[in-house]
Amino acid sequence: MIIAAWICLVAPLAAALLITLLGTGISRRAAAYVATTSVLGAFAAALVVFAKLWGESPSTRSHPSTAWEWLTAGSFHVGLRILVDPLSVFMMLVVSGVGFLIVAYSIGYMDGDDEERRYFAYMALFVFSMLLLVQAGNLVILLAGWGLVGLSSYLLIGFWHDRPSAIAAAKKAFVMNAIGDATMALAFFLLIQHRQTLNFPDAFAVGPGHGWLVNLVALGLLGGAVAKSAQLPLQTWLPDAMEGPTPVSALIHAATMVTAGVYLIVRTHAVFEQAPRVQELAAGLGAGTLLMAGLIALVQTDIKRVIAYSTMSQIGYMFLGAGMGAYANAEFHLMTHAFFKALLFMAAGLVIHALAGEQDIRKMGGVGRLMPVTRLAFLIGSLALVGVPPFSGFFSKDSIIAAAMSRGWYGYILFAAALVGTFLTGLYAFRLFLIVFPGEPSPFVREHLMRGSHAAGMEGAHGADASAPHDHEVHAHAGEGPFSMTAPVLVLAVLAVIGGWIQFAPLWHPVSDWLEPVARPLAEPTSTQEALASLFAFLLSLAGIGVAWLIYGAGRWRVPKYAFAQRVLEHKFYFDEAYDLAFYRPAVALAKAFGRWIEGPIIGGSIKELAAAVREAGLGTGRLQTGLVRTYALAIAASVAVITIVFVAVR
Amino acid sequence: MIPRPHVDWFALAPELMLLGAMGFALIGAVLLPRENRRDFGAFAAALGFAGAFVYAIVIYIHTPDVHSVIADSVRRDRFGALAQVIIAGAGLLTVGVSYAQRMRDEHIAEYYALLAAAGAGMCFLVTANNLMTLFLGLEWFSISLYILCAIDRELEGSLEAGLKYLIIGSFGSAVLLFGSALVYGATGELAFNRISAAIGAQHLTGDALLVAGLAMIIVGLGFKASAAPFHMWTPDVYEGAPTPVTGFMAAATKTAALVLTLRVLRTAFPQEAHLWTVAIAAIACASLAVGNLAALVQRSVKRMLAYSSIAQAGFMLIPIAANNAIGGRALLYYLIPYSVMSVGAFAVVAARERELAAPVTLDNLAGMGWERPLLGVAMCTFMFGFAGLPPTGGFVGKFYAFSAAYRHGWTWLVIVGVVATAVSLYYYLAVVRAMYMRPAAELQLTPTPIAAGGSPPRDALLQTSVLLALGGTIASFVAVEPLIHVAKQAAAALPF
Repeated sequence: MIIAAWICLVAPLAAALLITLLGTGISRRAAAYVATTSVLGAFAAALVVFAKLWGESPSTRSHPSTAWEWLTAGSFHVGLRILVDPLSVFMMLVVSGVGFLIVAYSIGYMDGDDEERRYFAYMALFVFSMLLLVQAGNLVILLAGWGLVGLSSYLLIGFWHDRPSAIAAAKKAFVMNAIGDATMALAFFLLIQHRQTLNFPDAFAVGPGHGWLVNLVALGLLGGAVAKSAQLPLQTWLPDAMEGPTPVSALIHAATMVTAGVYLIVRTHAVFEQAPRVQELAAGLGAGTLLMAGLIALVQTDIKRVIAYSTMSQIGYMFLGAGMGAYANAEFHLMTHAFFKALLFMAAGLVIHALAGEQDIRKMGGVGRLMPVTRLAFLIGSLALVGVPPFSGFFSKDSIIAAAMSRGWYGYILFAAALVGTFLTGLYAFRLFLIVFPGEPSPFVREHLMRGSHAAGMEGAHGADASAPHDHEVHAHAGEGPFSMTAPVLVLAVLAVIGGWIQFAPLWHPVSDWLEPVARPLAEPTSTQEALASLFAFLLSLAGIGVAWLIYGAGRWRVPKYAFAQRVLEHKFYFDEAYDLAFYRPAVALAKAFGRWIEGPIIGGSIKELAAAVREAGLGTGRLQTGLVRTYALAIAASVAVITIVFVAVR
Repeated sequence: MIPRPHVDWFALAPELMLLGAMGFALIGAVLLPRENRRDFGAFAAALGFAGAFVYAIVIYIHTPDVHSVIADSVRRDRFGALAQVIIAGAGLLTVGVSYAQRMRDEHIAEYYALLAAAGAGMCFLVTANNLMTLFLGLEWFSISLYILCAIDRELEGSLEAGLKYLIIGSFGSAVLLFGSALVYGATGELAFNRISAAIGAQHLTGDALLVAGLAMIIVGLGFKASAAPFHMWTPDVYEGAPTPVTGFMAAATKTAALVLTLRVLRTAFPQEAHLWTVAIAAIACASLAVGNLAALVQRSVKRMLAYSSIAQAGFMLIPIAANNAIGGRALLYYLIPYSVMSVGAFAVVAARERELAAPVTLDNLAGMGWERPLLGVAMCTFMFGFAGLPPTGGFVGKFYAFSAAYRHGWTWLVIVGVVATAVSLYYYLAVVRAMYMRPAAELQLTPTPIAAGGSPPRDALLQTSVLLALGGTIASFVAVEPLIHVAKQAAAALPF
């Protein structure tokens, strides 16, 4: 079982190294297959681990394994240590399973790109990093995985490096994440200093009575989590990250990496439970983010950005759940979200692919008639996202909302926010669906889809490098994409429908039981609360869908005009502008002032002086080096005399 | 009948292997036709060093306790055995680096014979346990090295280097011998452990003759380790000697001298620790200052590496000055990456020298990283290692050396070491910059006609040696735990 876990971890790394080292010695298509096969292998290995773990009694399901011990000082060990337990296996299955479908989809999506090999090497590197993150058995490996997913995310957002906007987005994501990485690393250092161990779960077992320390640690961890998961107040990088190729958005910025913050909170729940105020803050940030993102999603006109805001909003639900102590519910929603959000992104990718890289929904309309499979997939994804029974989102989201009800008055505030969120979800999800799919094809869509081919598609998508012409064959599905793209979408569509059925909180709860040994929930809603939450959520989401239909479907209502609200939402609540004003401009001004008044005259001058002095000293030593043997002998004789005299004098 | 001491021949196996190799190479020099001498000599020396390497490991494994070998004049212990492993390993790599050195075939077999003889002397020195064997071992390898420095008569500066080394080296040896005589005069003993016992028994602590002798022994050994202010021969000799010999001297001579310094100070003079710890710390600081400052302004890479080796000697004197078990551990650990990095770095210089047929400077390193990817990556790693950056053993070595000084309570010494490290980054990274960040078009020397018909063929043996050195540098970082354990057991052989 442990060996399978190691195989799961190493397979994608091996693929990344292989593609990198072989360089042009491997065809583009072969590189794609190597990456896909390795992720499939990782998934198979994860299944083996899961099956073996399933056969054990719940209390013994925790197996650390150390491949190599780097440093030992007393009881302090630093090594390559993984931990196989129900939580890590759960994440391994989601990451490698959804990851496989998305990498397979990429074969068709990236076909013909000039740098396909680089893309697949990065993708394999990402899957490895994410698996390292979730399998980590000590703080150092967790930090390494955390940093590596940030790196691969940076590389993949900026994959089309000839687009300035992609480079800017990659940098923004990296910088925002660096803030979180720093606070998390500081929290880890405090933990290590306090606990004298790196290993899970001992490292987190901070006993009661360390008030300020545990609060500081929890805040640091929360900082890392909100940055990685694009929650308030470090959320602004995620929409920009949509500059990356669409499969990247599906894998990294929907299904896996952005949910790492939720994983972190669940993994370190012992710390958060000692710092209940910080845990409530996490839930509050989640609630705030889900409302804010839901509102912004209403006015976005870029198909991927709408989905990006919806991702932010759904992760807000997961934070709410984890912050309320409903760990299993948060993880369950993480899983179903991975299914339906990857589905939405990939279906959107089919549309973008067919429309020559166009992402503006105002130009779309009536796509559904020409792309029926995509329409069906997108509809399923939207219904699952909104949480209409029996689609998967219903089961996972409602249990989070119900958990909020069981946590006192603060819980009721969050409960209300979550319910408003479901209304917004219904509204923005169906706004998007109704604008893009039903009705008569718009002239723009007609132009691209009626030709039945998208020969010019990829060049348009990939910006300036249109120099290499390549002929795509005419696809049978009138532009719905090759089998390697539609098949993963259909598999995900099935999962988005049935994926939620594995847990229906009032009746059966295998996910909660599975995760119970790792993280015992704090919130246990009663059946009445579950029923009430479901009822409210269902009604409100239907209301959201209904309003969307009245406005965009039937055209009965007109889009209400509130100039101020619209402007605020289109500027995403002015977060970018505020950060620009609060941090960027003062920093630049300060740096310029320092450069002008301090750097130049004081530091620069003294460095120059110092460098000159050092150089002078160096030359001076060189001058002593006469090359004459008698000088050398004299030096030795003199030092013998000095040392002897000193020794005799001070003996 | 004269009573003969019992001799543990097995303990002398590394030396005997190398002496045998020397004999074979010399016989080959006489009997074989000229064109076969190079292969035969190299093969014999490689076999000798490999045998010494293996035997030293076997001795390490089978010697959990300390034995005396010949009437207490030589010690068989893990401390010496680990040093022998390092020396033999450096020698083996040096044979690989030397093979394609353009040297006339006439004396090539003698070259390998002397290399083996020098290795044997060093292996003997690190196990020495009295003042006589100490001097014997020192002269044994020094005389071999004097000749090795001067052996390539066609190389400009080689003869000069050999002669300078001979004169100054003799002076240094004389100081050491005089110091030994004073110590013998004061205590009436030769063996290290008996000197210590005599000091204790006769209350000689602070005796004028004794401390004067101690001072001279420190100077003599510091000379061999090329620590400042006894270092002045180092740049000239390192620059003038054939590059593989320079690499061998930087790695193996320094290992032997430093290991013996620790042994003699710790075994013979523990009562005088209040004097020698301060003296060694002062010498360490002087070496750090001189080595780093002078290295900053060098253009010749060999000369820069020579000064860098002076600074490195300073770093390795820090754990000796700390005079504690963790210091012994740190020294023995640090010598492992240090010696492979030294041989490796000089091997890369040798390779470049052969390509250009000119002395290597920072200017004509330009573009080498792109032309020779393996050598470029290896050289970068060695430079990172000397500077103490991960992922190399140099990082861990420095860390341990500093923690030894810290444990001794000498935070100021740690600060000096850290400042010196910061300064050293400048010239180590200058090499990396020269190799990667300048286009080859800036090359100031046009390659000689040898390279005109395309670059010279790759030298497989040299590349293998560099690869092994690279592997050692990184492996000593990865496998810290077992290596530290080995060093700890080795240091336990000394009376801390």
